[in-house]
Amino acid sequence: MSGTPQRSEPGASTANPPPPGLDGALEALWGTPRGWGRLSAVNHTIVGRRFIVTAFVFFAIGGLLAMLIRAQLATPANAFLGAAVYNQIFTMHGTVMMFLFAIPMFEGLAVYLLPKMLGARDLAFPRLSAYGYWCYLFGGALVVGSLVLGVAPDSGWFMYTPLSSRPYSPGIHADVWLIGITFVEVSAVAAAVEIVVSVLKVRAAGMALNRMPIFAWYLLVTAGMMLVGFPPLILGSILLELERAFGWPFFDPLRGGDPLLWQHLFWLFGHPEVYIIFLPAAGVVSTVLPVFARRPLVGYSWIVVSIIAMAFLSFGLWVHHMFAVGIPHLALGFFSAASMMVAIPTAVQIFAWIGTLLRGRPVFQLPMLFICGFFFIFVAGGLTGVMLAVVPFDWQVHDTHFVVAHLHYVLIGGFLFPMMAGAYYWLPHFTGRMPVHHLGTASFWLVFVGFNLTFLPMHLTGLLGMPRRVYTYAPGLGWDALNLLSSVASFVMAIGFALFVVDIALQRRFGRPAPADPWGAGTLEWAMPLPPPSYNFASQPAVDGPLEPTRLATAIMTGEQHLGVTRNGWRETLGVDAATGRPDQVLLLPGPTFLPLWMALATGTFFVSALFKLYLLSLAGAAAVLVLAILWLWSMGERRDPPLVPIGLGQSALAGPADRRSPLHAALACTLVADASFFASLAFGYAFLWVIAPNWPPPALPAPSPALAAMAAAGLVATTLGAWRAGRARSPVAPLALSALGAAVAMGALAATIDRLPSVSAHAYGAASAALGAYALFHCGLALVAALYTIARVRAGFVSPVRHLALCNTRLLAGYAAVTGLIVVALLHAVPAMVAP
Amino acid sequence: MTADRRAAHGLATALAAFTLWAVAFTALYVVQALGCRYAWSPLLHQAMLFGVWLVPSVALALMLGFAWTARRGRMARVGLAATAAALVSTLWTGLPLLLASTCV
Amino acid sequence: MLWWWMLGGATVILAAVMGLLFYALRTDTPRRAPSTLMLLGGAGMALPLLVLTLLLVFSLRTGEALLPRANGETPFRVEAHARQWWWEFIYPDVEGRPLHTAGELHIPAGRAVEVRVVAHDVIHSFWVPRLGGKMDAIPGHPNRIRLQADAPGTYRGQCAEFCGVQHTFMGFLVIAHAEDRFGERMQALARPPAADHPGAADFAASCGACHSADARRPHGAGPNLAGVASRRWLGGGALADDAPDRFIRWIARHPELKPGSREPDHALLPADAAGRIARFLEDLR
Repeated sequence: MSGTPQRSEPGASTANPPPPGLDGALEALWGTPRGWGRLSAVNHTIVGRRFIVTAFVFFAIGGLLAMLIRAQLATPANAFLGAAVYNQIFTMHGTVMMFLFAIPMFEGLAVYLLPKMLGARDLAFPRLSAYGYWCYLFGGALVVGSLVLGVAPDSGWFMYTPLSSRPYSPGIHADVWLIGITFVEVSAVAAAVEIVVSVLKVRAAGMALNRMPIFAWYLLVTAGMMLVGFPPLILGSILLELERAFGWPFFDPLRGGDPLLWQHLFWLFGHPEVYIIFLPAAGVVSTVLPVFARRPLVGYSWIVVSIIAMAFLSFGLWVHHMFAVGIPHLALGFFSAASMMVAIPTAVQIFAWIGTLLRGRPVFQLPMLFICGFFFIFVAGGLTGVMLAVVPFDWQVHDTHFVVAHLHYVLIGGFLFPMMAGAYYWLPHFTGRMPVHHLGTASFWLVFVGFNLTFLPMHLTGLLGMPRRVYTYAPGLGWDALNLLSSVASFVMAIGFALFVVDIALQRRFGRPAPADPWGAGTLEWAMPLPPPSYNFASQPAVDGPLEPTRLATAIMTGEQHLGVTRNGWRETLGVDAATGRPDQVLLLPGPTFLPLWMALATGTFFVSALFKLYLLSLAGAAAVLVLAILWLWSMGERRDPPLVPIGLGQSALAGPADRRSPLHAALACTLVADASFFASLAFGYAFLWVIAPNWPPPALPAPSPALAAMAAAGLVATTLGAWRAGRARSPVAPLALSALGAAVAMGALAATIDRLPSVSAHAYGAASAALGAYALFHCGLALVAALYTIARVRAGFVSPVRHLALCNTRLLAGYAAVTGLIVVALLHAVPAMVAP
Repeated sequence: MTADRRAAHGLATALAAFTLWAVAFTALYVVQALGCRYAWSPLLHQAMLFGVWLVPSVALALMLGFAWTARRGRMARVGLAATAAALVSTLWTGLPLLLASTCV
Repeated sequence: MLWWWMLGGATVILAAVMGLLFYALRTDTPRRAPSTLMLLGGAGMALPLLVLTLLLVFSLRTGEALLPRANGETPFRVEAHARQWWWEFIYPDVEGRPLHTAGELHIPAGRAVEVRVVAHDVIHSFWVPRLGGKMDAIPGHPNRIRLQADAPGTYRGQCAEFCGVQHTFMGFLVIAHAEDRFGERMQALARPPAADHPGAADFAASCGACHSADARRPHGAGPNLAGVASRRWLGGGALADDAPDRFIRWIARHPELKPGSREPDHALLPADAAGRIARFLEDLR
């Protein structure tokens, strides 16, 4: 990991020399310290690079596991690994590739590229990206470390219960998965919030929504999907860990739980996940392909509609992983239809890419080779995907090697090939050097041929009846030659990837220096010296027409555009109105700090102690997280009203306004979207158990208690009313105190409600109700802390009539706590009263 | 409407239209499950299913009409196209109602 | 049928897309570019929508035909009970019912068979590739699947859902008999073991805690061994030959043949008792 990026090489840029001192002054502001100080880095270029390199290391580990799998399956009755080890290895292969490679890899690309493409100097929350990185690194290390110790998860990457429950998976294996992956998911949700807010708020002046580079659209939609898609899995993991650790029977059918609930929660995440992985890669294709077609992308608006459609439809597919669990045909029909439907937005994008090539004058360079490979493999995988959407066909090939072949066609074709195209395209940006051509071509052919010879035969082994996840097979079933071919070819593919690594190393060492904008691109990341300086742009461009790096570069580097100044030691970047891109503020970003690292260590303490059942230490970790979060928030904002400052080109804007326009407000809204998805999944789980699970209704229901219900409801209403009044009253302190009091009353009533529930371990009713109650209790606690915090902010002089961000955020949070809390109160008090005889 | 309001409005329309699709889709699945679990009379069950299929479809058709009258600017056209796509998706995902057994 | 249509259609579509891509990449000849509407609206939307509608209709109709529902004919009923890592089969409707057996499912050929699929520990999946689709066995949710063997013969079956260490060796065989032969097979299965067999006492003493050898009197946590001598496989496929010494090999070596299974190690069993038990098993026809 290198530290501060180097200044551009002589002759590497076409710009005039910048005004004396501007570059140096910006570098002094934006640079990252060396030595141990590197751990304090928050700069998006550095954090993005760390994500990418770490993800690639995990990719190599996952690849190694794949080699072991193929070695084991090369011949029938092979005794190379043995059943127990093999199960750990295939579980970890899937887990590593999905959670530790694919998602973080595109997160890294997004963190690195987004601000540069959007003409900004950094993301909206640099410290949040750094925190996300540390969570990813620590969580990933925890999961992979378990492999070294031989206690890796072994129930499959899908972790179906009851196989992953305590009786059938004793030991720590499954806990490593549940806790380690949840730790990593923290980073994914953080990245999603970061990406949504940054795309909406942190762009160059004049970059309206419909002028954004298409890549930003892809990432905006993907991040939105992550906000909704990851919480069901996080919920599922928490519930399963509660069952494993404390015997809450969410998934145990003998006690009113249901193993199908896990499948729903898992695939509610798991299928959108596939599109979360695919969309950024499609974004790479939509960015790279037009550059080599020498023509802007055909059908920009069509593509925007397609990706929005895809994002939604992909949430209607999850049951197609469950066609064989015994769901009525009509329900399967809905999901089958949605699964077919999602092919259409995909087709629109494919034809938009072909149309771009048809209209342009394509030049064939290395990245295009990988894009052609992507076309072949991804279209083939898409077609087998449509076949799998056909219910009777799926009944036949479900859980066979046909599905293994399909998913690798889609994921390697749809993610890896575009990413390799992107790697060759952006490597000059990362390293400032051009590719060494021939090795890249050889690498492509080895990977492409190796891939097809590995996975094409697997369609056939699947159709011949070879199930997934078997550690060996008997000879003479017609599977022998096909498996051997797959295994041999997989090693060819591995050699291709090794060559890719060698090629990158050679390029870093021997490539000739990259000229400015080497590909003739149409996005702003090329309008800067290579490799990029820590502040990206000496001045931020005003975007009023096509994004032509070469045309804009000179004006940017001479500091003639926006914010080509340094003042007050501020790290400045423009904040814009989301729709039009009109500048509406100057954002003042934080500098290098160890806070994210400490925060991640505290988070890690929480998770790792829970893994080892040291719950007191775990609680201490959670308390540390809360304290650090309050310190973190406290460090933002000013005690004086924001000044109007000139931003260049004759315009001016407020510096760091603390009101509704602040990215923090948007970030809270995004976080609450994720939280709402979590809550909806929990409520779905509660309803699902009532309706579908065996052994319901529960043997015991709590006696109705209208008094407690009324007390909780009154507390919740007071919380939100107080917070709402605070924004309008002359002094916000008294209404905020009311809000805090309301939250405290609601907490008391909720705690009493939970206390009256039947035993949480006897029946899933008690467990699910307690989970709902705990959710509401936690959010009332948050509302309480927020109200007290805001009172302290008011007292400390951070709040004024124009600096009312804290009030806005408290109102939003209290409102959310009240709405979800009232739903919980209804579910806990009204449902048993209605059902009871 | 000013240009910037139109742009934001277009995106909101697109999201609203597909949210409506999601509501219809979820409702179909929920009504199917409830009806089978609590053994509603087939007539009532069918009527409810067709209701939660067609009501959102009609709502989307109305939205399409509004979006058509406000189709100025690129983002507004994105909203229009997304509404059309959501309508087609809603009609399409309900098609199995005509062909598949409800509770077997 | 459906499969060949889909394979053909998919191949044509893949070839067409790749052909178009290569045409689009050619720079030596002038190329005709259709309008955006034609390309994205036509090839990207209208065409796939048409193909997918046909496919959806066809697929739902095919699916309907496969559903286990009452349509006049009474199917032959069996139950498949899945446990880590073996299958128990129960015949509720034959003479001397219900009969319990394991590892091999006997069905009448040419007649619809309805299998009730039940799980007792984790999720498994009942799958006979050549006879039809699969159905998951889920604790708490008994399922039904219908299949039919048109001709007598032996068909491989397999657990299709990952279910733990020995998921691999959770196979079974389906043996379809002509109608008259099927009755004979059921009668043979119902016959109790000879109580005066020299190995009977050893079997009862050493194996009886887990295994029954009588299809009508199931007991214990292990597979019912009634008719085990006529089974082609032992251990769900872990010992898949029918050499004469296979029982003694299984008794001696099963921990390496099927590592992780719940069957205890028989290392302490005296060799002569093991031999008598093996001969007892060989006579369970």
